[in-house]
Amino acid sequence: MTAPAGFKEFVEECSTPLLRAGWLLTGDWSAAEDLVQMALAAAWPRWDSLPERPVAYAYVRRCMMSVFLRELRRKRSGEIPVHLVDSQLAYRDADETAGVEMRESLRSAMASLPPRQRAVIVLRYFVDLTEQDTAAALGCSVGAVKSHASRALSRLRGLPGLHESLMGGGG
Amino acid sequence: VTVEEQKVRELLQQFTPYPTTTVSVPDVEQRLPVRRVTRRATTRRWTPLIAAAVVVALAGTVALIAHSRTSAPRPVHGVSPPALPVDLGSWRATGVLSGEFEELISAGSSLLTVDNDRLLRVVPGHGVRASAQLPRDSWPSIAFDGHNVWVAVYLQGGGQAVILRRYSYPALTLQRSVTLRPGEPRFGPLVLVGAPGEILVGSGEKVVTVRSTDLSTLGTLTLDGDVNGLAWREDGHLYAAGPGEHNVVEDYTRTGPGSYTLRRTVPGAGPPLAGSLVVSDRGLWEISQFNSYNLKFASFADLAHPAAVVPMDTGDVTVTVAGGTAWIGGTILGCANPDTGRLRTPIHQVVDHTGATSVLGPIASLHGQLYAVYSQYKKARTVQTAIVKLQPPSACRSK
Repeated sequence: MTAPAGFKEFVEECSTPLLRAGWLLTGDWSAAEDLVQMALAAAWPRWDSLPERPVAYAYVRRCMMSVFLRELRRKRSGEIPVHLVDSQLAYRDADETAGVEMRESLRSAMASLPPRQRAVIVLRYFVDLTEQDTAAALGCSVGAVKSHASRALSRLRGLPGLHESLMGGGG
Repeated sequence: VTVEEQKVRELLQQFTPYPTTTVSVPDVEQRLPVRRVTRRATTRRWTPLIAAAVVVALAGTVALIAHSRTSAPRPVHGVSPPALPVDLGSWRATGVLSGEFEELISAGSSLLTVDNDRLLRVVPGHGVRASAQLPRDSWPSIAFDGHNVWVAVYLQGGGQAVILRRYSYPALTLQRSVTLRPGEPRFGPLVLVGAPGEILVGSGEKVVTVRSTDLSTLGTLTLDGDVNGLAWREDGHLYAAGPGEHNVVEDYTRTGPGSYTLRRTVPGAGPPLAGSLVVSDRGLWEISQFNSYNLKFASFADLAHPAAVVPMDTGDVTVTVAGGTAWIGGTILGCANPDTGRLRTPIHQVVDHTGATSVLGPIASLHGQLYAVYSQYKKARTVQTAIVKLQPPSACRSK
């Protein structure tokens, strides 16, 4: 099957940011790839009705969140990824040791959040969406987004690995 | 945007790693649903015949549906042992019903399950006998108190509300419903039957006690963190596992309707997994994770020192205590003495010959017969699920 016009370029352009968002949601690269691939597969048949890049990006993000929350529910055996070791990562920060520690703290912190809070943190502060756009991506009200964000920030504030970064001098 | 929000933004941008691979169009293409190619009729003379065939097919379908709704059981689909691509060792499994099942408990002479947002009452050998629609994508949790079926659902877009519903048994008619706001669940709300006339709903940091007659709230218990597991013991103890990174099991004593007092806090060796607490007559089973996964049994008298610890490679594990045996399901199969934790058979790793992950759980016991939800996952997607009848090795029934 031939990809619709412009789809290949979109995939090339958006793959990395979507995968990074997927990693924040799942804490795992293979799960992140699954999420992104499934979201893009959902957008493929509707590509012609998504003429503008921002619209397409918003649609794929929404699909990604929907797949993330749905598949979590299916696998609700309750596996919580903590203390994971991932040797296949490439680090771009200068101080690699500190970077690894911080990244692990970040992953643990994200994993400790309930899925909806995690999704809000990713959309609001990583993808940098407005509260309205975050609500649209998650299919919930703006009030729910505010509430999720507030609770998530409160929870992140209490985590040892992130406490200094958030309260003190920053990352 | 506050300073804190700005710092979170910087933190996420700076420390979220970059992938070493990218997604390509062929990767995405593999995910596309397979479409059937239909050939269009080339001449008009076939149109009346096609129309007639459609009418006959529709009439047949309507008759079939009417028939299935009245007396005939839903057909049992082919999930016979050869279709289960897993090595079950000395265990055996036969297909009962196919569908996309999530929960499974026994209730009276039936099994209760959830399939595609529908609550189903299944009678093995007879198929689906009653059903009720549930809200979409609402993470349902079900319980049976001997008279009614209780379902707790989480409305994700509805102001973060947990809805507790009471359905009649066996007809599954919705009788009453109440909206609770206990807090956001990590994987879905938990519902269980507590003291006589009381239903417990755990979600977020709260456990709400609801009176079963009028669904009024009797009390709300605030835990030290998010609840991942809840278990009720008939002598009035409520065990709550979870509190995320705090890694504890809290032991409460009921002091009145909806009222509980913290009796002790039992430190754990790692975060308990969701739905991970099960009581037997003499002790508590818990599934937790610290570097590896552990299935633990501790007697009520000494909860802090587990009498048995089974290390596992996976967190996909469920425990069901029924008929004098603790049945261990998931990506492993095993059985143990429910009151000592001693394994009666070696733990068998469920090996999937297709490269997918197969899970046999949750497990329910009905009239001494075991049933489980069989799920097969591949690349984070559910390939198939079914309810299967499990035949454990005879050693599982020994004392």
